[in-house]
Amino acid sequence: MSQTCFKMLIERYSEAVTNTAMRILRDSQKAQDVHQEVFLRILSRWHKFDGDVNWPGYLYRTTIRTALESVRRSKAEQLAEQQREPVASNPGPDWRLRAAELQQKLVACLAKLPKRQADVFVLSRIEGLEYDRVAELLGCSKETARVHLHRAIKSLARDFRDYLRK
Amino acid sequence: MNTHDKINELLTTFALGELSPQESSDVETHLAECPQCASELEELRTVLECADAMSRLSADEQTCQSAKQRIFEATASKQTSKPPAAIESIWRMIMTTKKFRLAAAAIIVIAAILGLAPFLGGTVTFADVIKPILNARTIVFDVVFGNDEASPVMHEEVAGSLIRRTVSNIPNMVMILDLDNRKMLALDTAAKTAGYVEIGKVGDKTQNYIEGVRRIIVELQEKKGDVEKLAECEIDGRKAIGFKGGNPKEKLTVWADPKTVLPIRVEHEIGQLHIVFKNFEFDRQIEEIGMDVPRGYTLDNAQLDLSDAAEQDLIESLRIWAEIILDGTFPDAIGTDHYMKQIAVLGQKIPRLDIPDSEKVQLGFKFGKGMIFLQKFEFGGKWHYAGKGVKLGNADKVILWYKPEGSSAYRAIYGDLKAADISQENLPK
Ligand SMILES: [Zn+2]
Repeated sequence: MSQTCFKMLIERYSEAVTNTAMRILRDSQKAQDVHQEVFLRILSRWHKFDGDVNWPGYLYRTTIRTALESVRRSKAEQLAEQQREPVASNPGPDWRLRAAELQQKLVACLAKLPKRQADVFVLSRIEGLEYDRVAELLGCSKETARVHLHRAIKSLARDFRDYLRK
Repeated sequence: MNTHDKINELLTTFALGELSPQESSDVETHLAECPQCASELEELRTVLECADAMSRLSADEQTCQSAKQRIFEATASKQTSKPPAAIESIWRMIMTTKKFRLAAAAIIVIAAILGLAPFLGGTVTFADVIKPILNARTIVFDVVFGNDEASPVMHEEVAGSLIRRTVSNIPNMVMILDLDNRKMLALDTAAKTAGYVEIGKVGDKTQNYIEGVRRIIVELQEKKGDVEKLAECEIDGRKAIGFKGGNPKEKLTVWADPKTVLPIRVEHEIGQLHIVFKNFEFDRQIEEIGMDVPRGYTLDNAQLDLSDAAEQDLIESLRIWAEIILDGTFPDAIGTDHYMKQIAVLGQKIPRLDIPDSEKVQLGFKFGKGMIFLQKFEFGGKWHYAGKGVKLGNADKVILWYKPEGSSAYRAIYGDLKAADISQENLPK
């Protein structure tokens, strides 16, 4: 990778990466961790990149996936935690859903979606990008992006249904 | 499909507001009488609203700053001295000021820097600066096509329109180009043979690489602005400041050492081609570049003419590539950089072929000529190569289409190496 350099990449995209991670994780510490992981991952593979990397696309994808990966990881930790002390959590049946909890639930569901669908959902609904831009970032057609988004929304809604009715 | 099923299918599209007014009103009518669809819509909307709420979130400045800080700390090298502001502004000036046009036209901007060190002291005038720049007579540098470490390196010594060129993967070969007279003298230093090649008009853009760099610099100066300063970084172990500018077709990046103000590296992106210039030396005493056959060399009288490179030559080169270099399949990608790499491979394969020596020479020559034709549109036209995995002889597949610069028609070359006009709608992706 010669045409650009690593520092330049950080200067250019650092804020975007932090913001995307923040929107998904809603926690500034975790967002910083994801930021760190994303750029270190790039650095460790630096020699493998050739001249025409679609950096915005690559960074968005890596950020989304790294963030959702961390959700899956902490989910697994939580589960292990719960198994150790079963009394701690398990909220009562009539607790009210607050926005933050809903968002947390949405992200947990997102983490279970196929990667492509999760990418499209985050870019389109959370980053607020048009189909054209999403397609460009992910290197697919507009129509493919649209189909992925529709599938993602459907399966998230299905997950929500089970959750809301619990 | 009954109404419920039909409407149910449309709910996501409806929630996204992507339905036509007619369809929307159909959905609304059904929703009033179907609790199941109404509740499913509610769930879809919950998802979308939730995402919407998330989209309004952003990291505060402190979070952004500290994230950046952390990655810099994790990767930074020891010291971080900023280049003097004067040097940056001079670079910007060179890249954007019209007054420097003469200088830039005379010699690559890189050479311009040579005369600038005294200017930094503040006692030297503009005119003083321009003088030494105009006087810079020679540039020596390396050129690499593509980003690959394994790409062959061209070593160039340039004095005006004369170039002495050697290529790392073609040992014993020296090429001397006289761009004014559009001629090349090729020397085989092992066999002590020499041959003249007509390079014709192709030389304008494709042989004088450094001139391409100058041209874009002049263009940048004329447009003003549009030159982006890049973050400081390290190149080949040296601290460097960078500037980037260009147009949709071409981009130029110049990296320079902030201490010596000398360029370290220039990157020129033209369409799909990426050229890197490095290891610069200015005004070095070089051996005189002449077009006469050196003493002790025998002149080969084979008529080699590159000036009339045509589509048929490209086709021949693709045939050679598929038949001789590969085993009947077209290459994954083509381009000057790929051709350059294959020349060495071909050089190893040709001697083992069971054909007369004269044909062997022609074979290598035809391959190179194909590349010359490719360059006619590689730099400026529209083209797409889709031969990856296609077998030689496959008449159904378009392996390459192109539109020569200045032409309105598209041409397609098929897997059986037949060529024909093709309409824009029929271009394969
Ligand atoms: Zn219904």
